[in-house]
Amino acid sequence: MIGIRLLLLFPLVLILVLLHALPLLPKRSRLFGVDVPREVRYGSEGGRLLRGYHVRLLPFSIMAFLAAWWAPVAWLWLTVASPAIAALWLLYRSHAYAVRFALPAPSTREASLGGDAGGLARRLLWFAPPLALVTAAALYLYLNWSRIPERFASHFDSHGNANGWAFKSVRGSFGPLALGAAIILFSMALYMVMELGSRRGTQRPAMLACLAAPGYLVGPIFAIFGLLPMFVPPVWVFVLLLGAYLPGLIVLLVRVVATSVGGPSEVTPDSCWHGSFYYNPQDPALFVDGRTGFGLTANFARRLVWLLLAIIALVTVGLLLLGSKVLMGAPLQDWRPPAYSKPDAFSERAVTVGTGEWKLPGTLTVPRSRTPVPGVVLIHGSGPEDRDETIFGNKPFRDLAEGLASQGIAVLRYEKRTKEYGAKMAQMRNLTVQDETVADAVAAVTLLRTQPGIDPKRVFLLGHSLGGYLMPMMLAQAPEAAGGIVVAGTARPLEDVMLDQFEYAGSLPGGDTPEARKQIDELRKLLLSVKALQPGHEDGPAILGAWPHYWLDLRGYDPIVQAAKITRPLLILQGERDYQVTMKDFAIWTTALGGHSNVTLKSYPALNHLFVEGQGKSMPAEYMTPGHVSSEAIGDIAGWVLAH
Amino acid sequence: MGPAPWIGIDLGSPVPAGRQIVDAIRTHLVEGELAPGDVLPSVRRLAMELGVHFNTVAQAYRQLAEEGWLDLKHGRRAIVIGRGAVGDAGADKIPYFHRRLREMVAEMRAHGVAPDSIAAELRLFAERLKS
Repeated sequence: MIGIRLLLLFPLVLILVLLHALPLLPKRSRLFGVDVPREVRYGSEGGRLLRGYHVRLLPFSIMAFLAAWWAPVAWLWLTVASPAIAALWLLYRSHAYAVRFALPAPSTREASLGGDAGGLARRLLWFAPPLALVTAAALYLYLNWSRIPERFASHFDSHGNANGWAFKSVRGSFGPLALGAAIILFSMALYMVMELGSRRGTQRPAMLACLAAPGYLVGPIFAIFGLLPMFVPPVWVFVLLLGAYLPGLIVLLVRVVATSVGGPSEVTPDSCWHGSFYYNPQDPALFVDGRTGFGLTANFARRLVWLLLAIIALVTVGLLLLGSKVLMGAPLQDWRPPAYSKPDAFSERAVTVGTGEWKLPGTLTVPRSRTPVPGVVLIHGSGPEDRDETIFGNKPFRDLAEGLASQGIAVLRYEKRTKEYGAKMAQMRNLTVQDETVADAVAAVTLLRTQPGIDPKRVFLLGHSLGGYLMPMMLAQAPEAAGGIVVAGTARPLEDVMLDQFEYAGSLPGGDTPEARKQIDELRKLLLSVKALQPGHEDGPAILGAWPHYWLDLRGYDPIVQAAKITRPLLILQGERDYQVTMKDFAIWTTALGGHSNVTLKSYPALNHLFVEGQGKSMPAEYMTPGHVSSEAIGDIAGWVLAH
Repeated sequence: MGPAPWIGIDLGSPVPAGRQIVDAIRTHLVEGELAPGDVLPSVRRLAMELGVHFNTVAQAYRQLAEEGWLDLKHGRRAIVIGRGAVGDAGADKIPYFHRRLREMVAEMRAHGVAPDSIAAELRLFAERLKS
């Protein structure tokens, strides 16, 4: 949060300073856009008018500055808008007042007969350094092409976590650099047109500064973005960049303004000015010295100007759209239906699980069938999951729903309560798995049993991960459920499983660093503090994202003991490559329930925690690659459901 | 060579802009401030600077070229050339100059300029001529 405010503060201060400097920026002989005698401009009248402007604008500036610290984020735009609107109004009022002192417009226009050879080319060189930087970055990427990963983070949230992704492709890798070069080249072209289309005057250095200076920020920033596949820079690099750039920009502007405000005003007929718009069909200039503010304004009598403005608008919008697309990266949601999904075989409809305060939106996938079909309710693992259990490009629950529905089984899946009502749930100190998972699972079974086309005697629960751990609890509370499917279900207390996960992450190549070891030690301490919780500790702080009551509530729960009492059919499946819920857990299930005739157990060598196939050690990064739930597992689940 | 000379035109004057441009440039040529080899701004550039139509400047350049001051044959560049010796103006031109000079002197007298000053100014300008 502080990050957003700090980032806002730089431009805000710059804008406030500019707003206050605005009447001082135009030519020295001008007072609020009016050519006045020196004795008015520097006499008591001019001083009074300028003081009036500053005194009236100052409260708005102070308010905006304070609001930047305290206003709600949604209202932050007002901090820039309100002083800007106030300044516009004050400028307009002051201009209307200054008109009474206006000098008669001179009518003599002068021109040098000297050549201007080489000047333009020399000035365009100012655009070269940032362009060279972006080009060098592109060259570096090209030469190190083999080292670029297939997929890399290209956008980060305010905490530095990746939330956008790009692929190793010409577009994904060179896109940001090409965009940066395009922005610089466009401002270069704009400068060229403006210089060729305006009279030689003292505005030229200002024009050049205004158009070339942005490149010196755009260049480095896009070079950094461009090199993201190779290096992820720490946030302070950007802060340093801005910190170095902004003072430089201010110094440049002050110097340029100082040289350009001294010159005489350009002669333009009064009758051609309509407010601050210039319209003179006799004048071949595309851009003339503006009467208000600072810099040039267009001669709207020239068709070329309209064309140029249209091009500028189009290119700006285009660059913005393209820019947001290129820089944001793809939010890894490029899920495509698996090969085993047969869209003609089923239809989907929206349903609501539960009623009242905690009702949840869900999706029911129903096979096209004349006879009643069996149904399965999907129960999420830990964390605020959506109905698809989306993780990066993976949607294992959607795979399951479409896969099972293609084989004649209805599937109900829904948003997890902690996903739909996250903020509200986070406040609940007495939250338990009952509120988080079990109650909604029971409501979902009830809902599915009453849906048309569903055989109410054959509605099963499928619990993934934590959902598998809670399967015995859910079956106990939903006696009308026909049976349960445990997919990568935890058999041990959650804190034990978590410690195993972190130790595994530490054992991965590159994971065994002093920091990682320190983190694991800290986690071990946290997990021990979970173990040490006693009734009466409910007022303590949250541990590992859950309140003490959540942990204490699970204290007396052993899924194995509960599962042993179940006589309804149970299918227990496990991926052997799973590093989150491991074969250790599967061994516990097997030992305890192996002899039960109602229990079927199976493990798959190639599958990970999401039941997606892979090779070698399963790594956290594996989840970033989109994959599908194994068709073998889906076939086994479907076969088992249809057989019961 | 010193800084390039400047010309000015009065947008409010009844004298056409093209005529003002020809007169102003010719004055610099005659007085030697523009020497052979100097390059004048392009038509487009000068028209832009003076805020007049391109054709006005192009026509002015053509007239100066006809008078033998400029070479316009090298692409778009207008180059000052040496004119060499120029014979006496034709008899048909004399009445025209006579009339303009007379009008100018009359205007100066009407504004109260003393006859001696007018004579001195005329001598000064005539002696500064280099070609």
